[in-house]
Formats: sequence, structure tokens, C-alpha cells
Amino acid sequence: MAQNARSHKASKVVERMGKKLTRQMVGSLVGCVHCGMCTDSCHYVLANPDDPTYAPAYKADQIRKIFKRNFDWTGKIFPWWVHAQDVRTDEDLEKLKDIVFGKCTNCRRCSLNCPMGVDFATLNRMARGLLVSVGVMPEGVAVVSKDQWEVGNQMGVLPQDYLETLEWLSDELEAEFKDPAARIPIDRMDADIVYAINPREVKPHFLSCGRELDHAQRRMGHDQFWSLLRGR
Amino acid sequence: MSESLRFVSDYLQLMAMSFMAVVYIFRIRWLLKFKASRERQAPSENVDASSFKGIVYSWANIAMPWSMESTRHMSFFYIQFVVFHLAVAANIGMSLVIPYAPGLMKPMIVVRLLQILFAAACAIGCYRMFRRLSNPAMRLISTPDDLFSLVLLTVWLFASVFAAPNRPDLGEGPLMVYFIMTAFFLVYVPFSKISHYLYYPFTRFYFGRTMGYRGVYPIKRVTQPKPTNNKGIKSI
Repeated sequence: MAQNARSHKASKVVERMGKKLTRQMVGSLVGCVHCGMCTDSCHYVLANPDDPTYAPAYKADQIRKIFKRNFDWTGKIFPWWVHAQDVRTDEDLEKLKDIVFGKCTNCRRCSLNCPMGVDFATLNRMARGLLVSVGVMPEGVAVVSKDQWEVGNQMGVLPQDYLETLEWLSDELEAEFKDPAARIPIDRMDADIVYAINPREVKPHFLSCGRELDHAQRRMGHDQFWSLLRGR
Repeated sequence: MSESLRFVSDYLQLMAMSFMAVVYIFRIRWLLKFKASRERQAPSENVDASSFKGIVYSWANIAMPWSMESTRHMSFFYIQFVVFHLAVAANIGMSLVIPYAPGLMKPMIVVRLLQILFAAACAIGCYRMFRRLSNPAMRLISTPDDLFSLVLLTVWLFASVFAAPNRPDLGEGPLMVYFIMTAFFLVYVPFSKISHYLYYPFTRFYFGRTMGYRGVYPIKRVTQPKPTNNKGIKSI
């Protein structure tokens, strides 16, 4: 009866939660005593002192209440007594998404300050996985994940685009230094330093990074100083 | 001692404890049904850390208030925790001592010390209730079970102050109330958050294992370099 009242996505989340639960997670789900020792350890709480919904125990309870309603006996029999609650609609999943993606960085400071050793980061990671499995996630995460899978990097830069960008950057460097040797080396096997570029730097910061490295190379008077990797 | 008091202090307690033990067995079996998680990443290169050390450190965490920032900064809260839990443990012990080894409660100093401990824990319970209701974050996360468990323990500790002298000849009321409450407590505990002590070894084991494997536990506090002024040598 209860399962029929759920949306398709909510049903899948509950069904998959049952398969994902480990002993470590269940211990963390049943072990919280709501002592509040974790509250002041959370940087979100420190940044938002007037909003109690940032308290790690509250955030964990949004996952815990689904577990209790569906997998724990007290929550099944007396849900109101332990704040057990099911997910019913896609809106419920959206609310959960805002918490697990938007109000926690999985830094584990709350866990390190928990007398019970409740591992909230593990619970949060599980919740993120469950939501992603039904397509509920922040748009930014969806876009970069798609790019990572399909293109090989989160900025969606194709290898050919990357090499062409390096080519015109080299032309700019060459013109700037008036030196035909001022080129960006790529996949050079005898380089002293390999510069594996951060995917986010490819677009906005590459030019400045490349210039700085090239300046450093020139100051040291050292050829074969650095090289870029072409690899994805 | 009346038959009624004999019944509530002996048979009723045994029945309640047996019930609690049976429920706990089911509970642990249920917990063990879930598969244990595995580490998927390479172990830490920190030679001072290991899963084993992490587990030991995690279990010992309860006796090391300096190991957590939360207890380091809230030492009063930690003292409350120690007193409250010692009182609960002593109270459970007293429920067994009175019917089965009353001689241990004969010295007045023992009775007085227990009464002071129970009274202190009762006051802490009242304070904790106030904190739970007055702090917005605490109020938000508190369930009816949290509130009822705290009230139950506080009232039970209050009753035990009057039961500790163990003088049924002066009136059986305090002992009757104490033992009936103890029986109810034992039956209710497996269904409430009070059973957290059952999960404590599990949660701390797995958390310690993970943190030890990843080189976080045992935590080593590093002395931070002192910030320098304008005339200082170092600048960050």
C-alpha cells in the first residue's frame, strides 16, 4: 500500500537503499543519540548560525527517517515516536537533494567530533548515490558528470580542441617573447617537470599558468624544463 | 518485606531483564545481517596508523576528552556525560544489589555517595532537558523518544535517591516505585535511543577501522607555528 503511494523515483530510492546498506551505515543510522555535539563542528553551521537545519544531526536525520520508516522496527511500528518518515514524491527527493548536495561537503568534521562515531559522510555519500541513480542531482553536477563520462574531462574540452588551444597559446607566447623556441611542450619524455593541468584551468586559467611556467623556465635558463600531458 | 515488594524486586526484574536480553539478541542478529563494508582505496602511508590502531583509538575515545574538539572545548558537557552515565550504571547495579546482596549497601557512606551521584545525575538530566528544549537546533533534532528517554531516566534517578537507603521497614513506597520503574526501563530500553550503548562498539569499530586505514586515527596534534607580527621572520 505504502509502496504504491510512492512515485517511481521514490520507490527506486527506497528499494536501492535496502541493497546499499552496510553494517557500518546501519550502525550510524541507529546509533545517533541526538546529543548535538556535532553541531558546532560543522562549517556550514558556523557560517549560518541562525539556521538550525544546517546541524549535521538534522541533515543526517533526513536520510535516517527514510531508513527508520522502511527498515527499522521502531520506525515501522511507531513512526511518529522516532521521527520516521517515508519519501513519497519527487518533491521529497528534491528536498533531500538540496540537503545532501548543498548543505554538506562530506568533510567528516562532525564524525570526528561525534562521541558515538556516527559516520555521516558515508550516509551522505550513499544518499547522493541513490539520488543520482534516479537522475536527481544538481544541474551543475549532472553536466560535468556527463562531460567527464563522454569527453573525458569535466569541462567537456575535446582532445582536438585542447591541442588547438595550446597551439594558438604557443603562437601568443612566441609573439610575446619574440622567440621561436617559446612553445608549449607537449608529451615530452625528457622533461623535468610534468604539468598535469587541472581540468578547470583548461579554459579560464591556462594562459596565465602557461606564462608563469614559461617565465620560470626562462629565468632558470633551463631548457626541457616542463611539459604538458596530452592524456585525458 | 511484603510479597509484593519481593515480587517486583526479584521476579519482575528477572522477567524484564530476560525480555531485554532476548530483544537485544534479535537486534544484534539484525545488525549482523547487513554486510560489512570494505575499504576500496589504498591504505595510508602513515606508518603510525593502521586499522587496528584506529579501532583501539576509536574505542578508547570515550575516555580521552582531549581527542575530540567537541569535548575539548566543552569540558563541562563531558563531565556531565561522565556523571550521568556513571549514575545510570550504578543505578542498574543497585537494582541487583538490593535484592541479591543487600549487605553491600549497609555502610551509610555507600548509600550517601550513591545518593549524591544520583542527585547530581538527576540535576544534569533536568539541565539536559532544558538544553534540548531551549536550543533551536536541539529542539529540531529531538524526537519524542529522545525527550521521553531523558525524562524517564531523570525520574528514575530521582526515585533511586529515595530507594538507596533500602529501608522497607520505614515504608515500601520508594522501593516499589524504584523497582517498577526499573522493570519498565529494562523493557523500554531496547526500543529506545537508550540502547545506543549496544551500538557503540559497532559504530566506533567501523569508524576507527576506516580512520585508521586512512591514516587519520590515532590523531596526532601538531603544534601550530605561532603567527608573527610585522617584524617577524615568517609570514604565511
